[in-house]
Amino acid sequence: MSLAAIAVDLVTVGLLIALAARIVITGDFFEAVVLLIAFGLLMSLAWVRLGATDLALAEAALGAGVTGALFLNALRRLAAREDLAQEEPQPASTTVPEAEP
Amino acid sequence: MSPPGEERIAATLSTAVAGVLAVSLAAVLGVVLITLPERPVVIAEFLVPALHLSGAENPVTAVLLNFRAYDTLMEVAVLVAAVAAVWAMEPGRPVTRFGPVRGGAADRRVLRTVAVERLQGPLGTGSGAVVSALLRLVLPLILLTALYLAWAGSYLPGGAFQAGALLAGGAVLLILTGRLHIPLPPARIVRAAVASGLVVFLGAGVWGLLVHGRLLFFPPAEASAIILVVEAVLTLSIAAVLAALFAEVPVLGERRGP
Repeated sequence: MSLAAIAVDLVTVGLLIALAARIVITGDFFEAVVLLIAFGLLMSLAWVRLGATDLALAEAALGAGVTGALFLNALRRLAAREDLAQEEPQPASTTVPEAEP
Repeated sequence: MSPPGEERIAATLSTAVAGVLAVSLAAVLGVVLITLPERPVVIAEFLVPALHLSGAENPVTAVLLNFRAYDTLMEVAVLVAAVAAVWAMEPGRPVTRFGPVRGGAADRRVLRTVAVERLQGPLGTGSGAVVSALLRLVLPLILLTALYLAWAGSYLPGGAFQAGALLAGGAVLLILTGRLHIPLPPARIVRAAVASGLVVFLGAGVWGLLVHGRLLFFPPAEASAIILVVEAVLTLSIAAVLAALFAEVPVLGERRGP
């Protein structure tokens, strides 16, 4: 294995671990989903390097594509639900509006 | 109600416990991985001599659709079950015939908002000339690539799952830009498309049981044709399954802004 190949592999693995850590740590769902899509694309690159082209194709199409779209859609629904929750009439006792996080 | 200080201590404690557990799991996995005996992969020794019996030239396809067809059949069944679950989760929309599914007031209002958004017509990103031109360019490419992947699956990497996912990606593009809408409860044709892969695959398996006495047995002479048919139906069915996950999804860019 050439030096360049080793370098590519090391960079791929490093980026994958960094992305995975960031996805878990970040509190921002949107960021997590976007990074997960990036993770899927990078993972499919890793599958290619491992010689598993079938998996790479499936990972790119399913892992990065369809799953990412599903998560983004779920986020959109969550946001819509929060909008509605804010519109709900507040009970008379709570006069002070709660601060937005 | 406990005082805030106590709550903070409890939160810190639970984080610490979760951290310790996670680190120990990682350690155990690491030890297992390192101490794993270095065995050569023996599957190839069995697989390569038997490849000509499978009806597929690509070893991955041979395993997926012949030698371990049972696993693939179960995977397809899981996909169909997942779609049923997603449909059932749709707030306030009954999938069964046993009467309306009761949702909370908030659920019903989410639905109404979505419906109003759609009624407001092509105001979102889906109507732009750029989007139309892009779709006109991308969709034929997606179709062509999916067809190639499905066809090449018998002798090259590719196959029903990849081709189906690609087709579904095209369908999702259409859904998010307001050109395709899968309403719930799903139409008969949608249900049929979702179930078709499982039905045909299972039918091929049962046919093997009836004629040759073994479930999912594809005789070498006919295996190639059976795999081709199953793979073709699976491609369309998997595309339908994945697209059906986006049923009742509102058009992109039509969210109410502040």
